[in-house]
Amino acid sequence: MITKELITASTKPLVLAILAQGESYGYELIQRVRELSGEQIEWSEGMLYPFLHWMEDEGLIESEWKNAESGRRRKYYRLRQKGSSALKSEREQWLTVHNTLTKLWKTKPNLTRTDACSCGGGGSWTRP
Amino acid sequence: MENQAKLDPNGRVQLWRRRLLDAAVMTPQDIAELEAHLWDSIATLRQLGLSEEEAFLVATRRIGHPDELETAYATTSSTGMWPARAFWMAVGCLVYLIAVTMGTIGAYLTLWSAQLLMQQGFGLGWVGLLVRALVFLAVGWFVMALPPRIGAHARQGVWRRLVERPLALITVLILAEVSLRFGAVLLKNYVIAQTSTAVFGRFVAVDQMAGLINFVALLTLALAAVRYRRGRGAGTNLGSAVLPLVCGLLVTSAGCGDRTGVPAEPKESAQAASQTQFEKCMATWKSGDQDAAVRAFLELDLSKPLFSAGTPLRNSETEFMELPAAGRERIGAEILAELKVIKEIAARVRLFGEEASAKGDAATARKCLTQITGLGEQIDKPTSTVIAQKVGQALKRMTTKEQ
Repeated sequence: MITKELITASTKPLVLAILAQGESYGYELIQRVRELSGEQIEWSEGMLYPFLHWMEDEGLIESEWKNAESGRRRKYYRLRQKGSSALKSEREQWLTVHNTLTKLWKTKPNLTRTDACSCGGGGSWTRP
Repeated sequence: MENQAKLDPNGRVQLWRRRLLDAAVMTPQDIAELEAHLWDSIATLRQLGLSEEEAFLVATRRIGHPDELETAYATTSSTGMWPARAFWMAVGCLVYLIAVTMGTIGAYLTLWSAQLLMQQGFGLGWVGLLVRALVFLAVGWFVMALPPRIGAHARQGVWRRLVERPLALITVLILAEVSLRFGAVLLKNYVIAQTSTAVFGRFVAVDQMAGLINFVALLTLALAAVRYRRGRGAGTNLGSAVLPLVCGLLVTSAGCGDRTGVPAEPKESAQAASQTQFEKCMATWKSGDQDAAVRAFLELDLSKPLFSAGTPLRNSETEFMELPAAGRERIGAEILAELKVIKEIAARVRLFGEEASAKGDAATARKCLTQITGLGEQIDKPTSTVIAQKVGQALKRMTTKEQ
C-alpha cells in the first residue's frame, strides 16, 4: 500500500498524465488510477474533487458540464496549455527521482555484501 | 437506468444532497458533481449484483460523511472555509436587520390602525411590541423552513439562482433592507403627523422596549445556531456561530444609538404631557396668547420646580460646562431663548400689575410683584447656570425698584 504522503505528492502528475490522454471526469479518474496501480492507489472523493478545483483555479485544467450517454450530466476535465507544460516538468522530476532510486537499488546488493552498510532501506531487495 | 428511476422517488439521493447543502463551503456546482459521481458509483455497484439499497449505502459511504467532505473541500481550497462562512454571516446579519425593520413597520402600522379603536397610548405600545415579537417569529420560521425549500427547488427557480450567486443574494437583501427602512421612515413620519402627541408619547414610552425584544431575538438566534452546529457534530464550527453573535451585538448597539437619535422628537412630545405649570405658561406665551399666559403665571405655584427634568434650564453651570462644544453651543442658545421669553413674560406681568394698581386693584398688583420675585428666586439658585442666575437677580431687582 502506498503511503498517504506519496499519494498526495503523486496526485498532480497522475491527473495530468491521465488527462493528457483525453478528457475525463472524477469517477473515471478514480477508476483509472485504481486499475493502473493494481488497486494500490485509492483516491478518495473528498480529496480528488477539491484538488481538481484547485488545479482548475491554477489554470492547469479546465472543466465543462456535458451530458453522458446515460443522460446524466457530468463535469468533464481536460488539460490546458499550462497543464501540459506542468506535466512535462513533473515528468522530468519524477524520472530523476526514479532513475536515482533505480541506480541505488541496482548496486546496493553488492555494496551491502562488501561494506556491510547498515544504512537500511532495501536490504532485502536482492538481485541475482 | 431503471434502478436510478426507482431510487429517485425514494428521495434518498435528494436527502443526501440536502445534507450537503448545509455545508457552507460547497457550492451547488460541487454538490451536482458529487451527485453525478454517486450515480456512477451506484450504477457500477448494481452491475456487481448489489441491491438498490446496498448500492446506495456503499456508494454514499465511499463518498464520505458530509462533515468530512466539508472539511476536505474547505482545507484544500486556497481561501479556506471563511469566505463562505462570512457570506452566510452577512446574510444572517442582513436578515436580522430586515426583521428589525419589519418589526418597526408592524409596530407603527399597529399604532396607525389601532388608535381608531382605542385612544390609549400604553395599550397601543404593548400591542406594538407584540407585533414586533410576532414578526421575529414569522421571519425565524421562514428562515428555518428555507433550506428544504432550496433543496426541493434546486433544479430551477429563483432560490437556486440566488444561492449560486452570493453577490446577488447579498444585493437583494441589502436592497430589501434599504427600501424597507425607507418605507419605515415614511410610515413613521406619517403616523406621527396623524397621532396626537399625548397618545404618541405613551406609545413611544412602551415601544422603547423594542430594543429588548430585538436583543432577545438575537440571543435566540445565536443559541439556535450553536445548537444546530453541535447537533451536526462539528464542534470546531462553534466559532462560526458565535461570531455572528458578536457581529449582531455590534449591529444592535449601533442600532440602539440610532434609536435614541430617532425618537428625540417623540420624546419631546412625550414631555408635552408632563410639562410643568410654568412650561405650559411659557408655551402659551410663545403661541401668542399673552393674556392667558399672564393669568397662568399669576396662578403659578412657585414652590414646585419650574422646569421638567432634561430641559436646558435644568442644567447647572458645571453640567453645562461639561457638555461637548457643539452641545454647549446649542443648549446655550436654547437657554438664552428661554430666558428671553421669561424676561418678556415678567415685563408683561409687571405692566399688568401697574395697570391693576392704576385701577386701584392693589391685591392683583401685589400678586404680580410677589410672583415675579418668586420666579427670580427660583431661577437665581446655585443649581442654575450663571446666566440664568443673572436673569433671576434682574427679576428680583425689577420688583424691589417697584416696591
